Amino acid sequence: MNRTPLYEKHLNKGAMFSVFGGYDMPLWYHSAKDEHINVINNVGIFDTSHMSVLSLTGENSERLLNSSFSRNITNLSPRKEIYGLFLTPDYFVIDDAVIYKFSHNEFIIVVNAGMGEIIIDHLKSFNFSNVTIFNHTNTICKIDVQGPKSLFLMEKIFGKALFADFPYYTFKGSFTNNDYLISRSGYTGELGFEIYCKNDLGTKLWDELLIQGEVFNIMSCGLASRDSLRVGANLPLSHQDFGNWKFCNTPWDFCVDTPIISNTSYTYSYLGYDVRKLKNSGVVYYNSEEIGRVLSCVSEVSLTRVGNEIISVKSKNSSDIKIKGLAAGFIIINRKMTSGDRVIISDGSRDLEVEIVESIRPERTARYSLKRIRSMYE
Amino acid sequence: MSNFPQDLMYAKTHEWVKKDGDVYIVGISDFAQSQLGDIVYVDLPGVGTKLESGDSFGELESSKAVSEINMPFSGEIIAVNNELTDSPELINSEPYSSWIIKIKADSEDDFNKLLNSDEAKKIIEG
Repeated sequence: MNRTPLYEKHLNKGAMFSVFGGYDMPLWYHSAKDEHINVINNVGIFDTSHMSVLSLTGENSERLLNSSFSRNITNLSPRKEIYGLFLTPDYFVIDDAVIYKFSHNEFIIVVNAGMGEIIIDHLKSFNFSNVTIFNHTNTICKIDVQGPKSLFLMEKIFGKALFADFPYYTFKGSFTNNDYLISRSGYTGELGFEIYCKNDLGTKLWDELLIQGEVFNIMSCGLASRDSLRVGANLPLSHQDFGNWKFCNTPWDFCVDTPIISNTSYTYSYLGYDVRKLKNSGVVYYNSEEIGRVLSCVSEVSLTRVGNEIISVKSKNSSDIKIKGLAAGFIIINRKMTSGDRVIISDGSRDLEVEIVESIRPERTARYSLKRIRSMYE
Repeated sequence: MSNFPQDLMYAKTHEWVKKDGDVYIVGISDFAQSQLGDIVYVDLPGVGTKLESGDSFGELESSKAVSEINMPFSGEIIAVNNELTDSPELINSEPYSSWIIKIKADSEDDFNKLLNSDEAKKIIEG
């Protein structure tokens, strides 16, 4: 079993552990629900050192990525990052990735836990010369600082100047030479930063973030809240929401420059009518006919319904309302539907009515300007 | 560290039972709630339901999973704690005062066959 450099810290804090992607990872520390809501209202830190971090250098790096990745990399400016997919010729998903561009001949590729060597083999199969690929995963610590108040915490630690101008999906620095690569991105739907650095720097940084973050009500957060936050933010989990089947007609089609035209399947986001979720994998029914399967099903604990209205912990009128949570996730079905349509998801013992929606959690801060965050939270 | 009050008895499936005259009050242990995580929904049975020992009488939904709660012995459910419908999180914060059901037992002897607090503690310590 693999462990991240922060494993001992999680253990000492009494975290509940679970195996994910071959790593023993914290699931939650005290309360997954509190961690979820704290990221929406304040700030949380996640150990994401299980992710695979690769570098790609050499004259043909950009050509190789343009040939193997779902998005054009030439159009990407240096110091910007982009989300996309590594696809098979049949449009099956090998993995999703974020690619960081330093220049046309230097990139960082971040893929899921345990996927580093698989993606390296895939890239090598294109037989490009003048490209060097290196797997940094075991020497790099990755910490995600997420939530609207992450800005103020990051300013305290790295200095205000760095955050005077820091647009969404851009990055600064590098993890070489004992420094930090900091990107304005994340997997929660809330304003946040991802930090990459050498393992020894990362273990010190984790402690520093918790100490300096105390005034912002910081919480260390586990994979359970990471999962429920990402579903609420309409973000997919690779190998669960897409994978070894044709990628078409999904909420994430934006990440493929040349989508495949197909009417074989449709993936939609859904929201339930109460907090109950399925116990096991489930199927989808419409008018008693089985039309597909459930990809993800979580409790989005920051939401509730009052009549036809979705109320979140961020809603202006939420203080008088008990937020009970709503089931949420993604389904893949064999027909086109539209927002507002209702289907039944079932695991054989539970039948739950859910509504197809464009987006799950309202008022997400990930893309807000830093000026707007300052005016709202400072 | 989970605690197991001395004045309660415990089922192997981590329910606690308190004797109150001829009524038996049932909840889940501190250990069980800590393993489940945040409880967000409690599915309660109907009053008057008669069930056998080990039968599921309801479900606890946590933010991560759904778990069944089991009858510690055979009997009839004579009351349910409706407060948990609105505030399921009470099971996390106060597991030993947040009772779930009250039972009239088929046999008074069944209570004495449950685990005492030391035995229950040994089970989780493996």
